[in-house]
Amino acid sequence: MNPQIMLMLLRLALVVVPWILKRLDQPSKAREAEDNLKSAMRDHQEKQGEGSIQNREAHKKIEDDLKDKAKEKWK
Amino acid sequence: MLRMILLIVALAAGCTTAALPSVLPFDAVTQTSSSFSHPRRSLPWSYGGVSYVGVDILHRQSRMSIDFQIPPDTVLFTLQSCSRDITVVRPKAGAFRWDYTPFLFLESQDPCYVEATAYLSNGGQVSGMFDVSNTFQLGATLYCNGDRTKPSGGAWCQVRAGRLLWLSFAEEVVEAHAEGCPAPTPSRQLGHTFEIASAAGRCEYGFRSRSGENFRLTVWGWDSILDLGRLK
Repeated sequence: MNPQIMLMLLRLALVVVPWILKRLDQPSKAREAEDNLKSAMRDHQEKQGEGSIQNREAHKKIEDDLKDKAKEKWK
Repeated sequence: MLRMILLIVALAAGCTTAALPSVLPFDAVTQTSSSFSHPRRSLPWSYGGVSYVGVDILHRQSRMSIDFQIPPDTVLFTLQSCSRDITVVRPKAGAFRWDYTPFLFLESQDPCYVEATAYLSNGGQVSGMFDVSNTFQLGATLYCNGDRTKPSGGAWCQVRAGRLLWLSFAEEVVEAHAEGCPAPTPSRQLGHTFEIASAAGRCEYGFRSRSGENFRLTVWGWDSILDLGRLK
């Protein structure tokens, strides 16, 4: 084969192959992003969080204890 | 000629498809069960021109504009208070302003912790936590994680679980703490001073002076420098 044609084909391949790679990678990246989001949502669903309203009961007990102790100490 | 080009294209496509893994590495990670320990809170945020990292306590206002710094590659950002759960899907990296108007009574009683979490695309998490209070009364000196501060009425201390912290008052106080939290011990060196060994997780302590002024200390003891989430 003519070396000039070979060189032209090689140059063409250098352009075409990265383009194909990029195109092929797009669906997998989209799928990965979707998976990441689903996992994050699942994590968030599992995590009760510290903002729980149940903290109020513990806080109320501390306040009651403080009042009792203060009354006892400085009666 | 055209046949040659088509052959090269076909070969390149075939090689690329074969080179792609059938199962992405991330899939393997997501199959591990997540266990939430007590990570160091490291989300940066700011309020009223003051920058914070992780945790703190704020003076309650009727309307509060809080700027969170969302890390790059965040797929989900959540805000949880004692009465709400806000989720933002695929937020932009950088500053995210949240205009927080604490509900009267519902969110204006102590405590109502607000927890912000950025879930990253690699499975890790970055979080911050704060509380708002309007019971700023009694002054104290807090020795926490190498810093000595003089908060008034309330303070957060974030420190590695097991480390010691000191809280010192100018007058005599009584103390009460949440069940399961290490009891503060009076210091032998300084008067009106308590030494507290931090436990993993959140612990709340209350102090009251003779005149009835209160001080609230929240300790976040972390046992994991990073919140690895699903990467554990």
